[in-house]
Amino acid sequence: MSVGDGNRELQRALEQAIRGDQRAADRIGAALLAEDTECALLGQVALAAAGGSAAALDLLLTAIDQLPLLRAAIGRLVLEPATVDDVAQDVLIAVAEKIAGFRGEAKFTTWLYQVARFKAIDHLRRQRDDDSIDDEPAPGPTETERMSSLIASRSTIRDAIEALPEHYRTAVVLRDIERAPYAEIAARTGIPVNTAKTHVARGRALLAGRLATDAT
Amino acid sequence: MQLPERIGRYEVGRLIGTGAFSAVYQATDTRIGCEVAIKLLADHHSLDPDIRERFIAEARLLRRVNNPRVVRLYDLDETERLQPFLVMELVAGGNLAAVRAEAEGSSVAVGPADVMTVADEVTAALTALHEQRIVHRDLSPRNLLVRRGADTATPPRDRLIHPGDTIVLADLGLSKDLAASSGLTAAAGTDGFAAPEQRSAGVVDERADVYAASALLTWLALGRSDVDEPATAIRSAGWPEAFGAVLARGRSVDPAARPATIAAWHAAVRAALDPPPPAPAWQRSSARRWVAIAAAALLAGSAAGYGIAQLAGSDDPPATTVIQGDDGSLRAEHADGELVAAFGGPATLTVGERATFTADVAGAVSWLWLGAGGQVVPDEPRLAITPTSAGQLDLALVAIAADGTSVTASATLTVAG
Repeated sequence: MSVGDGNRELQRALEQAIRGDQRAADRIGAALLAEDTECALLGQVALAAAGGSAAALDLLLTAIDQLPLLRAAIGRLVLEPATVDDVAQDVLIAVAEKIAGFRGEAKFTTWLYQVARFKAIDHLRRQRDDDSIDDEPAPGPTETERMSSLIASRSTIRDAIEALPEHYRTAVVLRDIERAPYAEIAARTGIPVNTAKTHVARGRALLAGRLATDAT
Repeated sequence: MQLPERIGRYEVGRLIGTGAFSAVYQATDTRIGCEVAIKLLADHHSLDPDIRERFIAEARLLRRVNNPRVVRLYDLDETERLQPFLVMELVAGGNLAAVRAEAEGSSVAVGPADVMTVADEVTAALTALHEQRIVHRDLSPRNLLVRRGADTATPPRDRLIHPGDTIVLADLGLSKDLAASSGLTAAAGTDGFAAPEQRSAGVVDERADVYAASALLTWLALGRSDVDEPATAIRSAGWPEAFGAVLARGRSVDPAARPATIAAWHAAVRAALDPPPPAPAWQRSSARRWVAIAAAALLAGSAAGYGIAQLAGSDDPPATTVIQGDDGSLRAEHADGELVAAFGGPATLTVGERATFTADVAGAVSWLWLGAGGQVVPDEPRLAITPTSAGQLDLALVAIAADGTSVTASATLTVAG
């Protein structure tokens, strides 16, 4: 099979995934993780997400959360591994909120890199400012906390949550509405704690993207 | 500037120097009880994404190069204010500019031996960088530190750099990883040493360091680097004419007119200043095609008195697998993915008796045999050695892939009397 054939086949799978075909989506998800550094398919998925496809956004967020490129980009500015994870979460939410602005003029990885840099510096700045107030355990709202308040205050939230893929929906509801600790989410859904964290993070990002789309 | 009391867990002693974005301090690691040098990114620059990224990248480059000719990095950390800092080896001898200034005050004159030592050391350091496709871009007397050797308590009065001293590169802050970029870079460097192509944004490669190395030797010989006619100035100061010609060529405005590699530059400097090296102790074939990267490593290593153990990275666990057969044969092999360097032959040699080794190379476009005495034999399937003295003899084979990466298989052979 030539590269061109493979591209056409993936193109068809992407169209099917956007129409809601879960098997096609799984196929795209696997192809995204196996992609070379050019990340051509990722760019196509990003454009589909920018066009308003929820399925494409789901694929996009899952891929950039799993691929090493996001954390590598953040790691060029951030030394603490825990902070790298925090920034990665902020970036996922920012991508979900801002993907409509991605026009495909630059490569998606370039666009993502710029978002990651901005979010990394933003996070460091807040961290530094928080540290300068001694013994004040009241940091400013992080992206995720802001999301939670957003969730609490929006009437469209139920629809947005309902629209989430089930495993993300359960995790977000437990975490952000029932305020359950991650360990409890893990126990109640029968998944490892780290997976629970991942589901919450991606679910929030997806939600943010949908709420941002609804607001416009 | 006010001296910080502490940086991280380190107690600050004194300010050693300042740059555009950072300051370097002498500090004490109170846990281990040793002196270190700390390079701290200035507070008001530490959240500038470009400056912060470059600062952190320097640490990772230092770590990657991991060579005795580049200053040792102990740690990369950040303060509570999130200012990143590098914790490095404190090189007690000071920088080359200070060493030369001090010598000017005494009666020590810079001679060919000093120039050759600096050329050897700088070539060794730059070779380590260039092998990894890193261009230093800021070679200058202030960025070269003199690590004093153990035997310099009573230094010879007629030398600037003493036998046993090492010169180490201190600052990779402007270094460019060519493998990670197009080679297209912003303007940077130290006036009087930086190559012309660095004055504006453009394509920069290893030849920028050849320019700077030529400017450095000009400075070493004359006390200044900004001379219009290096060849004339060098000659009228009493240096060999060929030396001036090499420096002039190295400082050509057009990079293509310079020696193409630091190894070629070093060979030209040596030929201009030194008598030809003694005849090799073992026989070699007629092949003469030198392969830049490995030849550079060899020249640099041997000229500075380092043997093959050094080339293979003596700080690392040996990467070569050496197998001795029951029949007295030996096979040394080092593989890195597809690229394999290996050779086979007798494990024990006898003085005056010819022994033959056979190369076994895969995934390479070229290979080099390296002898302990500094001999290079490129691309020969077999190598004949006739040892002249008993003891031990280092032999290595470097396999070079099309992309310039290389692996080295090495073995220490026993020579019976």
